[in-house]
Amino acid sequence: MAWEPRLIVIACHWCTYAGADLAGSLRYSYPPTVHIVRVPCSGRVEPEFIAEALKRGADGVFVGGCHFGDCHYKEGNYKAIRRFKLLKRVLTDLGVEPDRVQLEWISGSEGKKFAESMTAFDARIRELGPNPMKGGAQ
Amino acid sequence: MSLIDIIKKITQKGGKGMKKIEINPMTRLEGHGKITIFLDEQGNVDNAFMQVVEFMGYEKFLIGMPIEEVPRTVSTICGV
Amino acid sequence: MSKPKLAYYLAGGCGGCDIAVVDISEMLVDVALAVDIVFWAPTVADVKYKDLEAMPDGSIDVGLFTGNVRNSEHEHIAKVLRNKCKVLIAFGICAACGGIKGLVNLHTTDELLDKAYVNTFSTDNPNKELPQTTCVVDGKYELTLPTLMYARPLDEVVKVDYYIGGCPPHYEHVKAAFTALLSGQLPPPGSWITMGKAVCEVCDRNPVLKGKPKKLATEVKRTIDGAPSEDGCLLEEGYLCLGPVTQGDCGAKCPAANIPCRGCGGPIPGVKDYSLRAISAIASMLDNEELVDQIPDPVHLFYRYTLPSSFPYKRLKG
Repeated sequence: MAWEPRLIVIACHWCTYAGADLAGSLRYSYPPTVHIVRVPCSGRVEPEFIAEALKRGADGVFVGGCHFGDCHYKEGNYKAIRRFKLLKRVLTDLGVEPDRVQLEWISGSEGKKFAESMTAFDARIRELGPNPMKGGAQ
Repeated sequence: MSLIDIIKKITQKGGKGMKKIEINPMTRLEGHGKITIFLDEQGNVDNAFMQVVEFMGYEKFLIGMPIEEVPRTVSTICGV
Repeated sequence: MSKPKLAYYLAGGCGGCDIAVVDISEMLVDVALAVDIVFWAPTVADVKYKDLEAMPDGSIDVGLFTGNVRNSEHEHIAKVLRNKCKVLIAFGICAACGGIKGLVNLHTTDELLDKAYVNTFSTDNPNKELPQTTCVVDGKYELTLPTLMYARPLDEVVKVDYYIGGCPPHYEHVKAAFTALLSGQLPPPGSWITMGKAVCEVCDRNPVLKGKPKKLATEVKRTIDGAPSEDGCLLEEGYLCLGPVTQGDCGAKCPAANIPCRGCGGPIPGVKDYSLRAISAIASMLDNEELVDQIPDPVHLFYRYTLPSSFPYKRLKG
């Protein structure tokens, strides 16, 4: 069987998850390789979640949150961008391809953008190939 | 037991039929080393070698570290 | 009743933890009278590996293993000690999480050997000779060396009963740990022996302990940039102290000496992956995301003591 990527999307409940819902209502399609995990806020996303997903064989991890100023909890997405930037810098230094881990702000009304982002993410991960860490880095 | 018998009891074959005594580890120091003594047929010492059996690699991984962190790091080459 | 037996092994470490045990000074007399030290290699006792292997299984009550597992000899002795010891403790951050010597995982063995033996301006090795695992000298003397592997913490090789962090553990912490060991008052197996507080909770510089909120860092400084204030929080001032996520059994001695904490105590209870949690904590303490780019060397900072135990455990190819 040809390799199909397994993509984990960690979506914030108030914006990105709502945007995913809207993509469904408006019948914008996106690849079925995407598995969405709902969190209350992108600020809840710890680097450990992303690492655990990669350890367990996810080929790509995408974090989605609200635009600046729109966060339901005021500052969560600011924390998210700082953690994500530092994590991405460290992972890139340690040999993980930079595009395997992405972060985008997608609001609840951007259903089309959600579908487009997912399609682009899936295409990019297909270019990068399977996760070399499948089965654990050890 | 004669000395020859004792030596025969504690030695093993060491390549090309030579008996050898291995003292492993060297003790009362910080670091890992071993001493290998090769005996001839009469049980006399033919040759002896001391080997350091550890390797760290600080020379490579210090590259890129900010200079002010290096003294705190290299003090762990030997903590004694 | 016979005294409990103690074994101590230094694997891929520096011997600092050996000195930490010796540093308990007066209490060492009580410990030496209370226990029977049957093996302490290579630093203190003249007991060889063959003697250790000859001891009956389960005959040693407590084994302290320090240093990470770096070559096949360390791995072998780790497994032997697991058989011989009833309780095996990963003593010091190297055995618990990999330690500073775990930073070798940033490079392949070939790169490390090449730099050490061939490729420096001061090395005279024209034939590019490297150490080999077997070597026959003069055609008749066969010598062997253990095989080098990437660094691993002890729990990757055998099951570990307790962990003690620190580089080395502060002697007060060692005293407390030995007291707990000798009196049998230990936490459940698999946990860290610690008082459970972060460095910030015991640090005199912590503004929260003085009733003031902790402010975010508005700049990132290296320890050589400027000077820290008399009693202000080092993290607030931009020095990237890892106090919030590090165990404070040391009593926050480094911040007291104006040096930011670098995380040698190991993770606070509840954290399995130290480096990732440290990344999260420090990033949250910065005022804006531009400051993230100003951190000079995040890998050597966050993975300093814990690379072998924190994702991705080593530098991946590419």
